Amino acid sequence: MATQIDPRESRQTQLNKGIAELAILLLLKKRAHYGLELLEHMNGKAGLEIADGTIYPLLHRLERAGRILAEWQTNTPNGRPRKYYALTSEGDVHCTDLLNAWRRLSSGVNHLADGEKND
Amino acid sequence: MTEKENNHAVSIYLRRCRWALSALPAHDIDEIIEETRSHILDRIDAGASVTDVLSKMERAEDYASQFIKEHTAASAISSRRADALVSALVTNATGNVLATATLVGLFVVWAFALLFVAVAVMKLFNPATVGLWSGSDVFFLGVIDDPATANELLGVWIFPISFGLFAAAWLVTRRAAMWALHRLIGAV
Repeated sequence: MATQIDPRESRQTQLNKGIAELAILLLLKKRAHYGLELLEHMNGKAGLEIADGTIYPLLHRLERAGRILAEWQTNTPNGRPRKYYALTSEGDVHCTDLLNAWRRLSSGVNHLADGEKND
Repeated sequence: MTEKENNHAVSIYLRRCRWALSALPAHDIDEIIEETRSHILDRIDAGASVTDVLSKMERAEDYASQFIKEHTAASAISSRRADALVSALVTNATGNVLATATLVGLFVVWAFALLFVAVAVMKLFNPATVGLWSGSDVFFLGVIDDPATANELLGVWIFPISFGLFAAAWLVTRRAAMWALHRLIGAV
């Protein structure tokens, strides 16, 4: 049986994936985080609805691209090792570029939306 | 579910992930599995049921394929080898318009180049009837039945042209595949 995909959900998922990179870099700009912590920030206040299975491949990709650094820490509250991610200087520059691109994009879309309202 | 059943369900999921990740270096697999285990157990500690946690993760095979695709693309870019680059594009082609379009484009380029090479090879054995033919109602590359009915345009130039097209196809493959894979890796 073919899987039914809600087009709205699919669009939302694609958009969220695109924004997820920026969200991760912005969070890591403040301090190092581990995967679940990043996910909870993104899905909490930001409401990005990133799936649990999506975040680690994305972190892996950013790590390989040299934008973030990973380090295992064992002195965690529950004693379970966690992999913490921190922003590299290259990631910092990339984050600024992405943020500027995002601001231009959202400003353009807002401009169009406002224009449509006024028409 | 009892704790034993929970542990069993988590173990099965992680074993399937490990199996699906087997194309990656052992160190990478260990890191991914350990991080995934830590994530699942943290969720369970926070009060979620194992069923809920595992349903929020993707199927083990789908989860693993995201790492494999990225790894294949990154390794191919590092190696800069045309075969590795094309192989990475094929791996990424499923569900990806950019990779599929690049592969289709490369297929057309190679079909054109190989056609010229094949005709050049045939011309070595049968120079009188093989070439690029132009007549009153014909224009084609290949073998003609009666050479008196059309003019052959390339002559021996077909050999350097074929070599040039082959080299160009090779360069285009590397450039296009590198460009597409860079975009695929960057497009997150």
